[in-house]
Amino acid sequence: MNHGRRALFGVTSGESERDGSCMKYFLKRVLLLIATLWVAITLNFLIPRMMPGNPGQAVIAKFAGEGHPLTPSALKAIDAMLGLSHASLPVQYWQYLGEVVHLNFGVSYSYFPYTVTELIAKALPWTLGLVGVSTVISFFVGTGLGVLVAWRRNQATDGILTSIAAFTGAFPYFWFALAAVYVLGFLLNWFPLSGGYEVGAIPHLSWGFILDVIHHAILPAVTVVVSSIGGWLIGMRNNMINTLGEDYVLLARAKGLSNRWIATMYAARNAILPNITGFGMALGFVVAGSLLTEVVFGYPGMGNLLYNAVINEDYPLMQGIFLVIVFCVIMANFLVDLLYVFIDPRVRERRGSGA
Amino acid sequence: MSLLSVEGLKVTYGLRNPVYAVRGVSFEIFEEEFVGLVGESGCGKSTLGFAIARLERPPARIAGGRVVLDGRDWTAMSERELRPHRWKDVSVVLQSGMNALNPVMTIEAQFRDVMVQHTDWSEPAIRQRALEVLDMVHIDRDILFRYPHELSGGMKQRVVIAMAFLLHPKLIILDEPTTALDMVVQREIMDNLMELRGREKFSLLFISHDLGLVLEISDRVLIMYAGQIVEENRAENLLEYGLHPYTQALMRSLPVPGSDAREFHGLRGSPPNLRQMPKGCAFAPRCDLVTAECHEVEPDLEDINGAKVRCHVVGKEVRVRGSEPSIG
Repeated sequence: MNHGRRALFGVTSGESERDGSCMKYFLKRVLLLIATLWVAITLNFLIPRMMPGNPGQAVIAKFAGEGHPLTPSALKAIDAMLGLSHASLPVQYWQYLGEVVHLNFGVSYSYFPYTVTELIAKALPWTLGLVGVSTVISFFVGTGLGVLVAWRRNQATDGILTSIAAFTGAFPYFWFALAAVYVLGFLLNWFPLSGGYEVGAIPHLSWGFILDVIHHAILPAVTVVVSSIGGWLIGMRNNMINTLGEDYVLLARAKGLSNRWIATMYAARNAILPNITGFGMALGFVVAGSLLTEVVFGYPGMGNLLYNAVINEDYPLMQGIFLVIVFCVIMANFLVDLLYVFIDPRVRERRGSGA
Repeated sequence: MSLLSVEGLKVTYGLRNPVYAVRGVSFEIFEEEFVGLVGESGCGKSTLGFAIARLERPPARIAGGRVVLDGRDWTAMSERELRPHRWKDVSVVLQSGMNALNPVMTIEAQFRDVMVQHTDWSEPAIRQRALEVLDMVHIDRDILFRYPHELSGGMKQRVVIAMAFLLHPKLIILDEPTTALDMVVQREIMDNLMELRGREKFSLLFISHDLGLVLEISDRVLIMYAGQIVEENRAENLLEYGLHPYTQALMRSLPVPGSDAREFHGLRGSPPNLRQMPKGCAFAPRCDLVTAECHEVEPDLEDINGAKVRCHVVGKEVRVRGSEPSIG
């Protein structure tokens, strides 16, 4: 029995071992991130080029269809205008990679002569503000309420909140948004009907403008929160009820710990892990905007931009938007993976040093 | 005065059409006494253990009786009133030490929270006590800052046992503490518990299906069948002979050290359905000594030669002879 003789804390060896596996885990994640991005960018290059025809011919055909036949010489001009290349595929690919690195996604067809980058840069802040903030609110409030109702399961709070959550979660979103616009915007005139700010106003930093933006954002934000909060609540409630049945929660009760400590550190801390993954995904998809919200409320964000790109067959814009969405989703997943190192000690071992 | 006194405890599952898992159990545990509770799966022994520590979980419910621990009636106290006494008066070791530790907290954090909750010890004192209990179960002090998944099953169970000693509890309830472990680790843990008996002052309720293990560690043994105590006897007496036919059947199923006998005797039939209890003695359908009376009248737990037994036949036999029965 040499336990007493050991150094009081021989933890240093264990710590450095753990740091090593953390580092390995991090490197693996970074490599995976780069590989995924490369595949996404390459697919984005290949898919449109596998389609028959090319955008120049499409323009010619469009004009011909409208009764304005163009001479073949115009094709060259159109190609130049749209920045089309007839080089071999590998050459095009190399050029494309260069452009992507410089964030140059070409010229929009439907908003000519604006470039895709300019359009996205203009729409992105609106979406990040509206959908980002509502997603964060929805996650935190929904998850918090999920913890509460799971702790008071089978009581009145649980019955009422869970029923409401199931109800709002099952709402057809567009119907709900339209009803909100009709009642709160049109009939009661409490909120503006559409747009991100007052028509004619020029975006600038002043209290008046900021209040105007918030006033315009409330109704779409509330509809997003109401329609998504139920999912977080019910997901968290179900996970939490599972962890509440675990032996370590029973033991925590036997230890006479306070309810608050048991609910947070023992039950919620373990139950929240799947919800965090979901939150990471949701954050990644924030940049895609909430298509229906932005269309219904005429909000000048990414969702609206994508919608217009699709109905106008604006391929460069679509490609640019898809690339931004894919990039953000991959990054969000990467960040959640890193976050897991801190919130779930098991990940360090399992993913770090294992397979 | 006894440390723990259980009086007519009844535990049911479900409100409508309740099933009685524990049917009026009474016994006592004295200070520094080790008591074993033996029975087969589903006999209600774990339900009883949890109810004593007031850890019954819905749909389980205490339907009657009292649990008096150190002079306080735990069945009459609210969760709020119980909290300051938990872990100080009674601590528990669960069957699966693997799942009894919170996977996202270090061992140190799980030791610390219970000490912070119940004591005003200083930081060094908390650290000191954490190291002491680890020493008691012979685990390297290094593991204090490890997470549960970094430990083996046997180590986890030892950590859980160490945790039970943190606040010098008066009673420790061990629910099948070694069932999920291999024989070697089981042996080490049993030896460890015997060793701890000499160092700390505590009473023990050892719940197991393994009569051999229980006999080894206990001063007194309770045999449970279908939610009732059918025999209460001193361990050394039981080693000689069991009074109740069920105890005898359990004894016959044990290997005898040093004998060549390769035949063990099982017990025919299976335990009664708690939803449809037989009218008389619950053990009657499986009993070799059964009489007509056994099917009609439920026997009481009667005192016989310092032991207690719930049996018409054995009870009469002993009373008639007025002396110790000889089992042949």
